[in-house]
Amino acid sequence: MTTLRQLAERLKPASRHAAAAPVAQRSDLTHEEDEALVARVQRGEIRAFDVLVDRYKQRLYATVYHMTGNHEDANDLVQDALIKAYKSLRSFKGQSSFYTWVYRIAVNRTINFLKRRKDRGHVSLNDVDASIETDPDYVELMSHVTPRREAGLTELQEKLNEAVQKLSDEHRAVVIMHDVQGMTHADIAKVIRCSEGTVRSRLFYARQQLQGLLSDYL
Amino acid sequence: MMKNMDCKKAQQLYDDLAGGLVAEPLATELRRHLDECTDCRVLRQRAVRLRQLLALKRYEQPPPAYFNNFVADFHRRLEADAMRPTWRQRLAETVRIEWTPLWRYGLAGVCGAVFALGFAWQVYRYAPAASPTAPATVVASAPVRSVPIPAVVPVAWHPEASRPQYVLERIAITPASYETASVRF
Repeated sequence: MTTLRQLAERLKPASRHAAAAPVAQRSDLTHEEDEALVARVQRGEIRAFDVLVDRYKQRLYATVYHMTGNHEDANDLVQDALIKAYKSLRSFKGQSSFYTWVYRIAVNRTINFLKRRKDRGHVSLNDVDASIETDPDYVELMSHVTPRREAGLTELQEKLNEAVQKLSDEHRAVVIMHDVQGMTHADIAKVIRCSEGTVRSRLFYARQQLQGLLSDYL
Repeated sequence: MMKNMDCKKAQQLYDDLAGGLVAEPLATELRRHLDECTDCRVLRQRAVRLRQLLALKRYEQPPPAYFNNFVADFHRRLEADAMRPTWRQRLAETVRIEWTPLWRYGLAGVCGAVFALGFAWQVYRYAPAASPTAPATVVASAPVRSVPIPAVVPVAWHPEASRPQYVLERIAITPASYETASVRF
């Protein structure tokens, strides 16, 4: 694709060694570290960026999907974030990991998108993986004697998403990153560029709100 | 070691305790507090179950083969994005399209300004000169001293005053009552 080549040429730094770098096949790059792949992309190898996209697309998609609650929006936002990352990779100095950097782009874009979006939009539920039935947390939750014990998985999923969507954008982002994605406070603080104390505080208030909203299931 | 840990402090540390991030003396105190405080124990159980509930969202997956064309889609979008004109190109295009009307508006504005300046110059040029009898500008800095004026000013008091002149004194006529009778009956 000529256009992509032109774009790759535009991204090339003014390095004397750039032209001499051998272009590796995509399959050869899958075992390389992020830093090496980023360096390759900065030298103009777009295939290296494909490997990075392959590596992080699912995690990025999951986060953005949980924040928006919508397939189409999540897909568009992740693609936009990756395009933005590719175009800005020249300015990436490596002060944080590539994943944190691209994650920050995706989360910021999602928060901006949610602020622009007037209504909450419709929630399109993803299918639940069948392996959830064997998850000890799920088994334990369902085994509790609650008035809603008979609630099906779909109903539980709907209620859970409904409650999460009621949180403010900033609180939802923190809850998704910590409780769903399993990120640490420090990593979240790097992504959203705030202190760990702010992350803890947001988590605390978001959980309080969620406990109120999901009291029947707790 | 912290004595009598308050419930609010304990609630903020549940998360770190679960993650093993609380240092040992404090962790022991926190566990002891949870053993003793029923409210905190219940709240902690609810917090743990909420985390379990939220963690179930990990099982929400997009349909199978959803990501098969993800990279190809990325390349399509990247190509479309590269085709999109940059802001410089958009600005140049806008200026090119809008140039003629802008030029006309600019010329009209310049003509209007020249006319207004000429008119102002003519007004300034033919304006009447300031009258010498016009009241002088009052200098605000100089204090005004009021001089009391007497109700009746004696004429002789004035240094340049002279004897009052009457009109009848200048005419050499005699009043009618002083004339002698020239006609005799």
